[in-house]
Amino acid sequence: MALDSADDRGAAGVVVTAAPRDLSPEGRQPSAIGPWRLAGRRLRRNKVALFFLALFVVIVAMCLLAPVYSAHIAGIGPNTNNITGTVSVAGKQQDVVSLDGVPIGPTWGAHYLLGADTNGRDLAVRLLYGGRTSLLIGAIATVIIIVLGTLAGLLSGYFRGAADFILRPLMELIWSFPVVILGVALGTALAIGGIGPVKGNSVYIPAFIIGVVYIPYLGKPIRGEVMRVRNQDYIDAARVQGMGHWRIMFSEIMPNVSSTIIVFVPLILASSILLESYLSFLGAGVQAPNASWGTLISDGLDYLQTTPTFSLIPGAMLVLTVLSINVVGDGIRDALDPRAQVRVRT
Amino acid sequence: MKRYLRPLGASLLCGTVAVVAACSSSATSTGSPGSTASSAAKNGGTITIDAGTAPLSADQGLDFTTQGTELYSVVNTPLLTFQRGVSGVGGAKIIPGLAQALPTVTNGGKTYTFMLRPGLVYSNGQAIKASDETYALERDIKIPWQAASFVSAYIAGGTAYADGKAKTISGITTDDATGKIVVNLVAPFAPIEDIFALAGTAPVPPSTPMKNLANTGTIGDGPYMWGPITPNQSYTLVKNPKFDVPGIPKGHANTIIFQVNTNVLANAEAVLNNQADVFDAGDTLPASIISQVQSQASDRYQEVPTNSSYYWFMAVNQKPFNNLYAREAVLAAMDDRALSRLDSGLLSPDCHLIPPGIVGGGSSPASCPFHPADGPPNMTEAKSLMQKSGMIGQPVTVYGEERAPRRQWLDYITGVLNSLGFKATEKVVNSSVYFTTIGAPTLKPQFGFGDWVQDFPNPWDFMQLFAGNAGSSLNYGYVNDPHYNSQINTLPASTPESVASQWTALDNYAVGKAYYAVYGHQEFPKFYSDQMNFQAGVLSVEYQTDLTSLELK
Repeated sequence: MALDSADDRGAAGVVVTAAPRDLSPEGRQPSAIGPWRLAGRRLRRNKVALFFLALFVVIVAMCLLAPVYSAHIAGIGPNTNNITGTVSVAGKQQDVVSLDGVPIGPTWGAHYLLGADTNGRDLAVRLLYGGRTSLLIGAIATVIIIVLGTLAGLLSGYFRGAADFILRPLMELIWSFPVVILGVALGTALAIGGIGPVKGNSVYIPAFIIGVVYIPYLGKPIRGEVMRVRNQDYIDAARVQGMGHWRIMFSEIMPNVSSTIIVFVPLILASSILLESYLSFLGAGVQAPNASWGTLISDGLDYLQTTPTFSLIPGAMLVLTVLSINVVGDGIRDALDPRAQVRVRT
Repeated sequence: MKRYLRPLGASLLCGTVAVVAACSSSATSTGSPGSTASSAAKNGGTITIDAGTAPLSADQGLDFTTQGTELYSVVNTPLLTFQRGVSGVGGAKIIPGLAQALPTVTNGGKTYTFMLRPGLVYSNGQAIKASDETYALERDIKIPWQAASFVSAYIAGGTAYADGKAKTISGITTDDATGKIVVNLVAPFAPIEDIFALAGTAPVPPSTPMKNLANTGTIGDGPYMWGPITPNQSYTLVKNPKFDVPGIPKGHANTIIFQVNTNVLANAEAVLNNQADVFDAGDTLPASIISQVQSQASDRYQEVPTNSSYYWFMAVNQKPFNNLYAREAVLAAMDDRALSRLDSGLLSPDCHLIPPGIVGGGSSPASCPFHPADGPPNMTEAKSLMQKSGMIGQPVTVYGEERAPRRQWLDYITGVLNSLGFKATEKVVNSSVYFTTIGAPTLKPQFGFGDWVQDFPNPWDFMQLFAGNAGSSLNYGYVNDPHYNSQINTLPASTPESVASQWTALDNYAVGKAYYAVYGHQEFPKFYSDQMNFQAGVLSVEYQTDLTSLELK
């Protein structure tokens, strides 16, 4: 706690590491500080990362509040067609979609704030719902990658032998395909028949696809890390003490590779959201009539010259989201880096 | 109609002498349009057509798409043909093609006798024989041609050949020495002349493999022949120097390249900026560029009415659309005006399958059940019908195409079905394989998009789509109504004009039974680059862009 308060004052000082305990020059015994708390402190000092973390939280909150905006402000659902409807703009009633099919641009009012698409759907509502879809897919894909990638890396690196013989080439095989091409191929195929009870137009399909194509991107580094850790003396000691393989993996090895996984989480989340957008932009991700930022960018392309906001605003949302996750991810990586230094006043 | 006539009238007033000559040739159905146009025409050069959708195949023995017809109709000339170089209904007039004259009809309308012109050759120099016609029709049945039922169901022995019970189509006899071709029908069937004017029935050399030649097309006998083909990307046509059939124009350009880019907006921009010559008439000009086209290229853009119908089919043999109330609810809830706006305003709302330009068509949109086709939907009635149907909550998979505006139409109708209480989900299928996908016997779609563009000027061409006894693979709704079938069998024995009111009544009967949910008839875009002679180009009701009319300035 003393170090916390010293750190908060932010003056130059000595380098503090978590262990072993040491005496200060004055003979006071500083309290011990764990690596996680130290990482948290480093992160709190990274103002840029904190700013983008706040931005990410705001974007997530906006997207989560999409139903509220849809029901109480815009008054229209994300997939509700309103082709022959009208909207009041500056006191005048205007067609949401003109007789020759041109949708209305941004009204900057409650209704059709960002304009309509060709089917007369409110783009602001679809932007928020699209954000929910993109974030949901990114989150589900990230969980799939973390669980399966970690498991594959653990099994392959710990057992080696037959497990490594099967899992490593499998990961190499997936790794060898460019992710977008593999994603489009799987997305196109699975959009037709779905997977088992999951229909082809479900948002779980692109989440599953992204999860699968990115598994090696976590599995391979984890495998390398596990292979390094399993040769440590304390693992041998655990084995000599009679601990089983699974217990060694999850109680001895996992804690030592967890920082690697944590560093990967934001990177994977950002990559998953981006890949979802690529796939949806190309028609192999989120299926109509559901929206995602990728489909909105694609839908707006026809109007790039006349109403560029149709594409630019979902594009900007995507950029800000991915940027914020990446910057926060960099901050986490720096914070967890054992070679990073925290200066505290002595 | 007004939008069509205005630019045409203006163009007739302001042209040069040469252009006026070309205009007059395209505005009349008399005389020899090909020769008239060629007298002032510039021959040679390469013309590029940008299209959003590829034909299913370059082989006329398989394909029956508008895109394919545009192309192989100048490669494969049949016994009869539709007059080229003529816009509007005049372009549906049947004239002799490879045959010397229109067929002689005997045996109470059951026997048609054709005589081949002497000295005809294919583009490879091989002589055309009468027996090649039999081989072409057998090939149509075997591959099969998408409209194979046109041949197998009406020519005597066609069904037996299709079922493998006969080695040849017994109803056709030929004499290679005289060029005589005798076709015997199962029953009198007036549209058979129209069918013999389709490129799919054109003779092919007997050495042509009995399989889909998607990469090469077939050896033909038309004014053009196939050059390099990259399926789904580009199709090249080059002039056939051996072609010389009186009454059929030889074409102007030396080479025509049909290149496929699914980005229709990019295609329109390419034509607007003179980077391509022709915007394919089978595509819809995106709403986002129409105002720009109308302001910057009004002298080379025109919206031309065609005989076409756009509809939703509903599978009447399975839940939930085996219930009349459920089908009627769709008709009551559908807003044709909305679907027209999604089509850049180029769709005329209507609920009837026979378009106004075809005999038996032209019923007033105001006579449509539940609400006028050009008026707002009747949601109160629709929801009441849904309650009566007991089909609320039933799952429906809605099939539609990927390309605009068909995907937007799909989004719209899915929303309508959900608003009625169905649990509707979309299934978007790539445009180039859409109809083969939904036509697969194993799929049996519940609900989906359908369209039909005139093959020939006979109401049967449209109404046969829902006939349950013709062996048609086009009846996606599995309609099998005894009265409907009976009428489809008996009315074609007479000329359309003599039974026009009965065709109208049959259309109204089917609308009353909600066998289909037609929502309109479309105008097609005629849009060329500055390099093209716009007045000379013909957008035909039969061929869409008539490739023999295209010429550079």
